[in-house]
Amino acid sequence: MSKPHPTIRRTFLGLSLLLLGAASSASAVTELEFYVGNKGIDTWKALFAAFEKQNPDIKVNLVVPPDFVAVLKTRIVKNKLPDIVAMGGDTNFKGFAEGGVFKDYAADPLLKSVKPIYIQQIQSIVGGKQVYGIPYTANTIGLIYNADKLKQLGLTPPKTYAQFIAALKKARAAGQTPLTLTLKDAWVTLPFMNAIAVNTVPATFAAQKNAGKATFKAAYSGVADKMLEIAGYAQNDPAGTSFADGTAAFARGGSVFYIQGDWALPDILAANPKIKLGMVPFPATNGANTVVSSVDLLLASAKDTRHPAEVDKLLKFLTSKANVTTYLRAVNAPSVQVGTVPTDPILSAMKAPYSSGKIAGAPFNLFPPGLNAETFFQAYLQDKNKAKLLDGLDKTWTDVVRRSN
Amino acid sequence: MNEAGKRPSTLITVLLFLGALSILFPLYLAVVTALKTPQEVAASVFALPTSLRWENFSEAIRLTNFFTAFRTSAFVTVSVVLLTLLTNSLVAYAIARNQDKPLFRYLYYYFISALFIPFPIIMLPVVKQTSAWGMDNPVGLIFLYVVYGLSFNIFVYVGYIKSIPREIEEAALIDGATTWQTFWKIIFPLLSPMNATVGILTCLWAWNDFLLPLVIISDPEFATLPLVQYIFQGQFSTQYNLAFASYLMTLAPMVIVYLLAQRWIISGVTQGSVKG
Repeated sequence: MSKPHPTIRRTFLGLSLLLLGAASSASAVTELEFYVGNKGIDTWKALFAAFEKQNPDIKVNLVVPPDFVAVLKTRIVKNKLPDIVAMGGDTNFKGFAEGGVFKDYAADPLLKSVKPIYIQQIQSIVGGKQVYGIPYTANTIGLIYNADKLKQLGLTPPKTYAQFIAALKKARAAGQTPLTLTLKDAWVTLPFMNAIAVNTVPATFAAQKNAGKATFKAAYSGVADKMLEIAGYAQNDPAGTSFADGTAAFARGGSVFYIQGDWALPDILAANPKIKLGMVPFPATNGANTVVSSVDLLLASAKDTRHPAEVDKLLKFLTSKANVTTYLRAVNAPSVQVGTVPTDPILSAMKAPYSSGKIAGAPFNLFPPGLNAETFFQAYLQDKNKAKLLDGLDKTWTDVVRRSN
Repeated sequence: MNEAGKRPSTLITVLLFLGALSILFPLYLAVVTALKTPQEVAASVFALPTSLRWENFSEAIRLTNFFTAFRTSAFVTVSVVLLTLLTNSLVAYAIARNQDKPLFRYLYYYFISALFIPFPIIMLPVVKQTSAWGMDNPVGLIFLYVVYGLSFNIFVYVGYIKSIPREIEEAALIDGATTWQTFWKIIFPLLSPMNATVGILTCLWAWNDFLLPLVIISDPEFATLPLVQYIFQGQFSTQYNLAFASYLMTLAPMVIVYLLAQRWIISGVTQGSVKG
């Protein structure tokens, strides 16, 4: 019998030692796993440090996974869902919630401080009475403008569609680029489309479409027309401009207007801290306009977590008024709490719709996951083929719904 | 050494220059961006920074927890390369020298056929199985790399072993060597050109791979370097200055490996090309 080569023996010895080392890390403290996308990380850390100080027997492990959704899916496959997941109230959430992995908070007192409109959004995403996550922050879509440029042109922020088109025309006549549009990223067409559709398409569209009583052809024709008209005022080569490039270009004073949500503001200010910005409700119609405000972040917990009491404790802590305020101030996002309006001075024109309740969730969040409406709109703004856009959406919707049933 | 009458062709020089440029230019962008402030990146991608911002590197180290990830990546890569060289060559040797037996011929085609199966198809079952067996950690990752490398490595090893004359082994057998000794003392050293090829490819693959660690590793403490790079990408935007600083630190070890192993790699390759 010959002996194995010494190198092999050494390698295996090393491996087994490592295995032993990895196995011996148990402790008496309850550890909670908290999954979050890459936003406001330092604030989460500070909040958890405060929580751990109050509850020395609980440790919160903050995990910022690369490729959030993919990792979450693998965790479901592994049957090891994190205790708490902080994610957007979007189509990805719809998929997970419908899969029945999250706890229902419909009867939970934690929801009392949340504006009903956001609770309804979470319900309508899944289409039932259940609330599979506690809304934590909201986002808001509007028309961002360069205040200095607007002043130079002798204009005030547009309130109606007619004023908006007139302002775009005036900017072009003055030799300015009226609008930055970043069509290289398909998702950019969604806030654009949502801002118009929320004002011109009935809120019941998705439900009616599923019942076979509505079509994109009939309902979205006006939305498509307006998008195309506005897009006509964009910079050269919008299809070759990504969100990052466009945001940087707008920050450098590249254009007067930018159609985006509040999430673009930190990026604009990072690229040019001196720029004077404003945001107004998107002037989609000539009447009073409704603002799109969706749940940007919600806290969902795994239905079969091993530490339900600790999870409740942490959620209670995070949703307390003081801690919500701390988080919102850090990420500069609008609140979902009852009786609040956006406090950022840039968003001062957005206060009125929030206090009067003229806000609504993004129509897109009710579309079936897998429809990929953004790619249809992206193609449409380039080939300008409205029939192809609306027929394509109608057909794909039916296909996607049939596939998932 | 100059060959009379042969001057370097202008066309080839121009092509080489353009080829070099296509590598140097992105490298220039990476280095320059890594030393800028976010404002400078937004102002112009190509311009030189006004002052060198070395803090980008320390900030990137802090954000990615660089040294922990580096340790994991190094542990995984070194183990994978060693185990792959030692085990895959053994398997290939067994197959190459027994191809007259149906079982070994079948095994050869069985392993090769794995080359044609795309990873996403087996991804979810692998995730489920590794998790059930408690292998969702670096050790499980090493095991998977060694096994997944088999199909390609056997393909190259077997082809090469067939070209080694059997007479050498017969001579060893007459001198009283066991099969085990024949392999380690005679065949394995003769395989060095192939070992170099397999070693380099495996090293790059294990160091750079993103998807497998993403789905296998559960504990963020065990994240490898490619995984931690994601921290610079927000939902909609990327902090390019920090990201590039981090990318440079991540690719540096591979460059150093190449510089150190360069002589050995090239001599290994040329050794294989000259028969004698």
